[in-house]
Amino acid sequence: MTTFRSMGCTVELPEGADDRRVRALFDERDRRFSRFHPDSELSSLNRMPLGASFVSEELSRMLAHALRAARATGGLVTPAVGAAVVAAGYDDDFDRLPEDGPPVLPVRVPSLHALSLRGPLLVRAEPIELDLNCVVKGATVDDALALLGGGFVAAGGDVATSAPLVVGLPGGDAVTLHGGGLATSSVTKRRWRRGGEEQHHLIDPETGAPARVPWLDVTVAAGSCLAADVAAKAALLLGAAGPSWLDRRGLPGRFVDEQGDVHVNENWRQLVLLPLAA
Amino acid sequence: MEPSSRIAKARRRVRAARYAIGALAVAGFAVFGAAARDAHPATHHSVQAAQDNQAAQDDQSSDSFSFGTPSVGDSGSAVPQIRSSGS
Repeated sequence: MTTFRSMGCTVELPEGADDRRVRALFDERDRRFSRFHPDSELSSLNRMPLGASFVSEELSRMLAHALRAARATGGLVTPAVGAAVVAAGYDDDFDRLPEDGPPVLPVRVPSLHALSLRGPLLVRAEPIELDLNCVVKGATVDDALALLGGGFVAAGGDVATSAPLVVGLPGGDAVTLHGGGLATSSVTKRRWRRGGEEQHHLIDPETGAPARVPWLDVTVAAGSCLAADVAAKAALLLGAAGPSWLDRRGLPGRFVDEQGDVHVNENWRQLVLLPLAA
Repeated sequence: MEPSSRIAKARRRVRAARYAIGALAVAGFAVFGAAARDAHPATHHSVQAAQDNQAAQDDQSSDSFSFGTPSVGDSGSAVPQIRSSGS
Protein backbone atom coordinates (compact mmCIF):
# COMPACT_ATOMS: atom_id res chain seq x y z
CA MET A 1 0.00 0.00 0.00
CA THR A 2 1.23 3.48 -0.90
CA THR A 3 0.32 6.13 1.69
CA PHE A 4 0.85 9.81 2.36
CA ARG A 5 -0.67 12.50 4.59
CA SER A 6 -2.86 15.30 3.23
CA MET A 7 -6.05 17.14 4.25
CA GLY A 8 -5.42 16.06 7.84
CA CYS A 9 -5.74 12.33 7.06
CA THR A 10 -3.87 9.39 5.58
CA VAL A 11 -4.41 8.83 1.85
CA GLU A 12 -4.05 5.22 0.68
CA LEU A 13 -3.42 3.95 -2.86
CA PRO A 14 -2.61 0.50 -4.27
CA GLU A 15 0.96 -0.68 -3.86
CA GLY A 16 3.11 0.64 -6.67
CA ALA A 17 0.62 3.30 -7.79
CA ASP A 18 2.19 6.48 -9.12
CA ASP A 19 1.28 8.72 -6.20
CA ARG A 20 2.94 11.95 -7.40
CA ARG A 21 -0.01 13.36 -9.33
CA VAL A 22 -2.49 12.20 -6.69
CA ARG A 23 -0.43 13.78 -3.93
CA ALA A 24 -0.18 17.00 -5.94
CA LEU A 25 -3.97 17.00 -6.42
CA PHE A 26 -4.68 16.52 -2.70
CA ASP A 27 -2.14 19.15 -1.68
CA GLU A 28 -3.43 21.67 -4.22
CA ARG A 29 -7.02 21.18 -3.06
CA ASP A 30 -5.94 21.46 0.57
CA ARG A 31 -4.11 24.74 -0.12
CA ARG A 32 -7.06 26.18 -2.03
CA PHE A 33 -10.00 25.01 0.12
CA SER A 34 -8.65 24.89 3.67
CA ARG A 35 -10.23 27.19 6.24
CA PHE A 36 -6.98 27.06 8.18
CA HIS A 37 -4.49 28.35 5.61
CA PRO A 38 -4.77 32.15 5.80
CA ASP A 39 -3.69 32.48 2.16
CA SER A 40 -6.12 29.87 0.77
CA GLU A 41 -8.75 31.06 -1.68
CA LEU A 42 -11.48 29.99 0.74
CA SER A 43 -9.96 31.98 3.62
CA SER A 44 -9.70 35.01 1.39
CA LEU A 45 -13.37 34.60 0.42
CA ASN A 46 -14.40 34.22 4.08
CA ARG A 47 -12.63 37.43 5.07
CA MET A 48 -15.26 39.28 2.96
CA PRO A 49 -18.34 37.11 3.59
CA LEU A 50 -20.95 39.42 1.99
CA GLY A 51 -21.76 40.60 -1.52
CA ALA A 52 -20.49 39.60 -4.94
CA SER A 53 -17.15 37.84 -5.42
CA PHE A 54 -15.42 36.32 -8.41
CA VAL A 55 -13.95 32.90 -7.66
CA SER A 56 -11.61 30.55 -9.51
CA GLU A 57 -12.95 27.83 -11.78
CA GLU A 58 -11.88 25.21 -9.21
CA LEU A 59 -13.67 26.94 -6.36
CA SER A 60 -16.74 27.50 -8.52
CA ARG A 61 -16.83 23.77 -9.32
CA MET A 62 -16.49 22.79 -5.65
CA LEU A 63 -19.14 25.32 -4.61
CA ALA A 64 -21.47 23.91 -7.26
CA HIS A 65 -20.96 20.42 -5.76
CA ALA A 66 -21.66 21.81 -2.30
CA LEU A 67 -24.83 23.64 -3.35
CA ARG A 68 -26.17 20.59 -5.18
CA ALA A 69 -25.43 18.44 -2.15
CA ALA A 70 -27.16 20.95 0.10
CA ARG A 71 -30.30 20.95 -2.05
CA ALA A 72 -30.28 17.14 -2.31
CA THR A 73 -30.20 16.87 1.48
CA GLY A 74 -32.78 19.55 2.21
CA GLY A 75 -30.07 21.89 3.49
CA LEU A 76 -28.63 19.40 6.01
CA VAL A 77 -25.22 19.14 4.37
CA THR A 78 -24.55 22.79 3.65
CA PRO A 79 -21.44 24.87 2.95
CA ALA A 80 -22.96 27.74 4.96
CA VAL A 81 -21.80 26.31 8.32
CA GLY A 82 -18.37 28.02 8.35
CA ALA A 83 -19.20 30.47 11.14
CA ALA A 84 -21.00 27.78 13.18
CA VAL A 85 -18.01 25.41 13.03
CA VAL A 86 -15.70 28.22 14.15
CA ALA A 87 -18.15 29.21 16.91
CA ALA A 88 -18.06 25.61 18.18
CA GLY A 89 -14.30 26.01 18.57
CA TYR A 90 -13.01 24.34 15.39
CA ASP A 91 -10.95 27.34 14.34
CA ASP A 92 -7.60 25.71 13.57
CA ASP A 93 -6.13 22.49 12.20
CA PHE A 94 -7.55 19.76 14.39
CA ASP A 95 -4.08 18.68 15.55
CA ARG A 96 -3.53 22.16 16.97
CA LEU A 97 -6.90 22.55 18.75
CA PRO A 98 -6.70 22.78 22.55
CA GLU A 99 -8.62 19.94 24.23
CA ASP A 100 -10.81 22.37 26.16
CA GLY A 101 -11.46 26.10 26.24
CA PRO A 102 -14.02 28.75 27.15
CA PRO A 103 -17.73 27.90 26.74
CA VAL A 104 -19.18 28.46 23.26
CA LEU A 105 -22.60 29.44 21.93
CA PRO A 106 -24.11 28.24 18.65
CA VAL A 107 -24.65 30.70 15.80
CA ARG A 108 -27.41 30.67 13.22
CA VAL A 109 -26.63 28.86 9.96
CA PRO A 110 -27.66 31.10 7.03
CA SER A 111 -30.24 29.88 4.54
CA LEU A 112 -29.14 28.51 1.17
CA HIS A 113 -31.39 31.10 -0.45
CA ALA A 114 -28.82 33.74 0.45
CA LEU A 115 -26.23 32.02 -1.77
CA SER A 116 -26.13 32.22 -5.53
CA LEU A 117 -23.50 30.92 -7.94
CA ARG A 118 -23.34 31.70 -11.65
CA GLY A 119 -20.09 30.57 -13.20
CA PRO A 120 -17.34 32.45 -11.38
CA LEU A 121 -19.75 34.93 -9.73
CA LEU A 122 -20.69 34.09 -6.15
CA VAL A 123 -23.22 36.34 -4.43
CA ARG A 124 -23.94 36.22 -0.72
CA ALA A 125 -26.98 38.29 0.27
CA GLU A 126 -26.09 38.00 3.95
CA PRO A 127 -22.76 37.31 5.65
CA ILE A 128 -21.89 33.66 5.00
CA GLU A 129 -18.62 32.02 5.92
CA LEU A 130 -18.17 28.95 3.78
CA ASP A 131 -16.90 25.52 4.81
CA LEU A 132 -16.39 23.10 1.91
CA ASN A 133 -15.45 20.19 4.15
CA CYS A 134 -18.74 18.62 3.11
CA VAL A 135 -17.55 17.93 -0.44
CA VAL A 136 -13.83 18.57 -0.93
CA LYS A 137 -12.45 15.26 0.35
CA GLY A 138 -15.07 13.09 -1.36
CA ALA A 139 -14.71 14.89 -4.69
CA THR A 140 -10.92 14.75 -4.46
CA VAL A 141 -10.97 10.99 -3.82
CA ASP A 142 -13.14 10.54 -6.94
CA ASP A 143 -10.89 12.82 -9.00
CA ALA A 144 -7.78 11.04 -7.75
CA LEU A 145 -9.19 7.68 -8.84
CA ALA A 146 -9.84 9.12 -12.31
CA LEU A 147 -6.27 10.43 -12.33
CA LEU A 148 -4.91 6.97 -11.45
CA GLY A 149 -7.06 5.41 -14.17
CA GLY A 150 -8.18 2.57 -11.89
CA GLY A 151 -7.52 0.78 -8.62
CA PHE A 152 -8.68 2.53 -5.46
CA VAL A 153 -8.18 5.68 -3.42
CA ALA A 154 -9.01 5.99 0.27
CA ALA A 155 -8.73 9.06 2.49
CA GLY A 156 -9.83 9.15 6.12
CA GLY A 157 -12.87 6.91 5.80
CA ASP A 158 -13.76 7.90 2.22
CA VAL A 159 -13.15 5.26 -0.47
CA ALA A 160 -13.53 5.11 -4.25
CA THR A 161 -12.69 2.04 -6.27
CA SER A 162 -12.98 0.69 -9.80
CA ALA A 163 -12.40 -2.96 -8.80
CA PRO A 164 -13.66 -5.16 -5.95
CA LEU A 165 -12.15 -4.02 -2.66
CA VAL A 166 -12.74 -5.45 0.82
CA VAL A 167 -13.31 -2.57 3.21
CA GLY A 168 -13.25 -2.88 6.99
CA LEU A 169 -16.02 -1.06 8.87
CA PRO A 170 -16.35 0.48 12.33
CA GLY A 171 -17.07 -2.27 14.85
CA GLY A 172 -15.27 -5.02 12.95
CA ASP A 173 -17.41 -6.06 9.96
CA ALA A 174 -16.31 -5.82 6.35
CA VAL A 175 -17.96 -5.44 2.94
CA THR A 176 -16.84 -5.81 -0.64
CA LEU A 177 -17.13 -2.57 -2.57
CA HIS A 178 -17.35 -3.60 -6.23
CA GLY A 179 -17.20 -0.06 -7.60
CA GLY A 180 -18.23 3.51 -6.84
CA GLY A 181 -17.76 4.92 -3.38
CA LEU A 182 -18.17 4.19 0.30
CA ALA A 183 -17.84 6.65 3.16
CA THR A 184 -18.16 6.64 6.92
CA SER A 185 -19.20 9.79 8.72
CA SER A 186 -18.34 9.80 12.39
CA VAL A 187 -18.71 11.95 15.48
CA THR A 188 -15.98 10.01 17.27
CA LYS A 189 -12.99 11.21 15.29
CA ARG A 190 -12.78 14.98 15.50
CA ARG A 191 -13.99 15.81 19.02
CA TRP A 192 -12.95 18.49 21.48
CA ARG A 193 -14.38 20.27 24.52
CA ARG A 194 -15.43 23.85 25.14
CA GLY A 195 -16.60 24.84 28.60
CA GLY A 196 -16.34 21.13 29.46
CA GLU A 197 -18.94 20.20 26.81
CA GLU A 198 -18.20 17.74 24.01
CA GLN A 199 -18.08 19.30 20.53
CA HIS A 200 -17.59 17.76 17.08
CA HIS A 201 -17.39 18.94 13.49
CA LEU A 202 -20.84 17.92 12.18
CA ILE A 203 -23.12 20.93 12.64
CA ASP A 204 -26.91 20.63 12.77
CA PRO A 205 -28.09 23.54 10.59
CA GLU A 206 -31.28 23.79 12.69
CA THR A 207 -29.43 24.59 15.90
CA GLY A 208 -26.08 25.86 14.63
CA ALA A 209 -24.40 23.53 17.16
CA PRO A 210 -22.72 20.12 16.82
CA ALA A 211 -25.52 17.62 16.15
CA ARG A 212 -26.81 15.55 19.07
CA VAL A 213 -27.61 12.26 17.36
CA PRO A 214 -27.93 8.59 18.36
CA TRP A 215 -25.24 7.46 15.91
CA LEU A 216 -21.49 7.39 16.36
CA ASP A 217 -20.70 6.18 12.83
CA VAL A 218 -22.74 5.99 9.64
CA THR A 219 -21.40 4.13 6.59
CA VAL A 220 -23.01 4.50 3.16
CA ALA A 221 -22.22 3.08 -0.29
CA ALA A 222 -23.17 5.08 -3.40
CA GLY A 223 -22.22 5.64 -7.02
CA SER A 224 -19.24 7.83 -6.08
CA CYS A 225 -17.25 8.72 -3.01
CA LEU A 226 -18.66 12.25 -3.04
CA ALA A 227 -22.24 10.92 -3.09
CA ALA A 228 -21.50 8.37 -0.34
CA ASP A 229 -19.90 11.03 1.87
CA VAL A 230 -22.76 13.49 1.45
CA ALA A 231 -25.35 10.75 2.09
CA ALA A 232 -23.49 9.48 5.18
CA LYS A 233 -23.36 12.99 6.67
CA ALA A 234 -27.05 13.59 5.96
CA ALA A 235 -28.06 10.21 7.41
CA LEU A 236 -26.03 10.87 10.54
CA LEU A 237 -27.53 14.34 11.00
CA LEU A 238 -31.07 12.96 10.53
CA GLY A 239 -30.70 10.73 13.58
CA ALA A 240 -33.45 8.12 13.82
CA ALA A 241 -34.77 9.10 10.38
CA GLY A 242 -31.42 8.39 8.72
CA PRO A 243 -31.99 4.74 7.74
CA SER A 244 -35.31 5.36 5.96
CA TRP A 245 -33.95 8.51 4.27
CA LEU A 246 -31.24 6.35 2.69
CA ASP A 247 -33.74 3.64 1.77
CA ARG A 248 -35.85 6.15 -0.15
CA ARG A 249 -32.77 6.99 -2.23
CA GLY A 250 -31.83 3.36 -2.85
CA LEU A 251 -28.70 3.62 -0.71
CA PRO A 252 -27.43 1.02 1.77
CA GLY A 253 -26.52 2.38 5.20
CA ARG A 254 -24.95 0.93 8.32
CA PHE A 255 -25.29 2.72 11.66
CA VAL A 256 -23.33 2.24 14.90
CA ASP A 257 -25.13 3.61 17.97
CA GLU A 258 -23.71 4.94 21.24
CA GLN A 259 -23.75 1.46 22.79
CA GLY A 260 -21.73 0.09 19.87
CA ASP A 261 -24.71 -1.84 18.45
CA VAL A 262 -24.91 -2.05 14.67
CA HIS A 263 -28.14 -1.21 12.79
CA VAL A 264 -28.64 -1.47 9.03
CA ASN A 265 -31.31 -0.14 6.72
CA GLU A 266 -33.36 -2.26 4.33
CA ASN A 267 -31.04 -1.65 1.37
CA TRP A 268 -28.01 -2.78 3.34
CA ARG A 269 -29.93 -5.87 4.44
CA GLN A 270 -30.82 -6.68 0.82
CA LEU A 271 -27.38 -6.07 -0.65
CA VAL A 272 -25.03 -7.24 2.08
CA LEU A 273 -26.73 -9.44 4.67
CA LEU A 274 -29.29 -11.50 2.71
CA PRO A 275 -26.80 -12.83 0.12
CA LEU A 276 -24.61 -13.83 3.07
CA ALA A 277 -27.47 -15.78 4.70
CA ALA A 278 -28.51 -17.50 1.45
CA MET B 1 -8.91 80.91 -32.48
CA GLU B 2 -6.65 77.87 -32.46
CA PRO B 3 -6.13 77.81 -28.67
CA SER B 4 -9.88 78.08 -28.00
CA SER B 5 -10.46 75.27 -30.57
CA ARG B 6 -8.05 73.06 -28.67
CA ILE B 7 -9.86 73.92 -25.47
CA ALA B 8 -13.17 73.06 -27.13
CA LYS B 9 -11.77 69.73 -28.32
CA ALA B 10 -10.45 69.00 -24.84
CA ARG B 11 -13.86 69.80 -23.36
CA ARG B 12 -15.51 67.45 -25.85
CA ARG B 13 -13.10 64.69 -24.91
CA VAL B 14 -13.76 65.29 -21.21
CA ARG B 15 -17.51 65.21 -21.89
CA ALA B 16 -17.18 61.94 -23.87
CA ALA B 17 -15.06 60.42 -21.12
CA ARG B 18 -17.67 61.42 -18.52
CA TYR B 19 -20.41 59.77 -20.58
CA ALA B 20 -18.30 56.62 -20.95
CA ILE B 21 -17.57 56.48 -17.23
CA GLY B 22 -21.25 57.07 -16.46
CA ALA B 23 -22.37 54.35 -18.87
CA LEU B 24 -19.85 51.88 -17.42
CA ALA B 25 -20.98 52.70 -13.88
CA VAL B 26 -24.65 52.19 -14.83
CA ALA B 27 -23.85 48.88 -16.54
CA GLY B 28 -21.77 47.69 -13.56
CA PHE B 29 -24.48 48.72 -11.14
CA ALA B 30 -27.08 46.84 -13.22
CA VAL B 31 -24.97 43.64 -13.26
CA PHE B 32 -24.34 43.81 -9.51
CA GLY B 33 -27.99 44.63 -8.85
CA ALA B 34 -29.16 41.65 -10.92
CA ALA B 35 -26.76 39.32 -9.12
CA ALA B 36 -27.75 40.66 -5.70
CA ARG B 37 -31.43 40.39 -6.57
CA ASP B 38 -30.89 36.81 -7.63
CA ALA B 39 -29.32 35.97 -4.26
CA HIS B 40 -32.03 37.73 -2.24
CA PRO B 41 -34.35 35.32 -0.37
CA ALA B 42 -37.50 37.09 -1.56
CA THR B 43 -36.47 36.65 -5.17
CA HIS B 44 -35.87 32.97 -4.64
CA HIS B 45 -39.27 32.54 -3.08
CA SER B 46 -40.93 34.25 -5.99
CA VAL B 47 -38.88 32.17 -8.41
CA GLN B 48 -39.95 29.04 -6.61
CA ALA B 49 -43.55 30.15 -6.51
CA ALA B 50 -43.57 30.86 -10.20
CA GLN B 51 -41.62 27.69 -10.95
CA ASP B 52 -39.40 29.66 -13.21
CA ASN B 53 -37.49 26.79 -14.72
CA GLN B 54 -35.38 29.01 -16.92
CA ALA B 55 -33.94 30.79 -13.90
CA ALA B 56 -33.21 27.44 -12.30
CA GLN B 57 -31.41 26.26 -15.42
CA ASP B 58 -29.30 29.41 -15.45
CA ASP B 59 -28.01 28.70 -11.95
CA GLN B 60 -25.25 26.17 -12.47
CA SER B 61 -25.70 24.78 -8.97
CA SER B 62 -29.38 23.95 -9.39
CA ASP B 63 -29.08 20.75 -11.40
CA SER B 64 -29.69 17.68 -9.33
CA PHE B 65 -27.17 15.83 -7.23
CA SER B 66 -26.87 12.18 -8.22
CA PHE B 67 -26.32 9.59 -5.50
CA GLY B 68 -25.71 6.98 -8.21
CA THR B 69 -26.07 3.24 -7.88
CA PRO B 70 -24.28 1.54 -5.01
CA SER B 71 -22.32 -1.60 -5.76
CA VAL B 72 -21.61 -3.34 -2.49
CA GLY B 73 -21.89 -6.90 -1.18
CA ASP B 74 -20.75 -9.21 1.54
CA SER B 75 -17.05 -9.80 1.96
CA GLY B 76 -17.19 -13.51 2.77
CA SER B 77 -14.34 -14.05 5.16
CA ALA B 78 -11.87 -11.95 3.24
CA VAL B 79 -9.45 -9.82 5.21
CA PRO B 80 -10.08 -6.07 4.72
CA GLN B 81 -7.61 -4.41 2.38
CA ILE B 82 -8.41 -0.97 3.81
CA ARG B 83 -10.60 0.45 6.57
CA SER B 84 -13.36 3.04 6.43
CA SER B 85 -13.05 4.22 9.99
CA GLY B 86 -14.80 7.53 9.65
CA SER B 87 -13.95 11.17 9.26
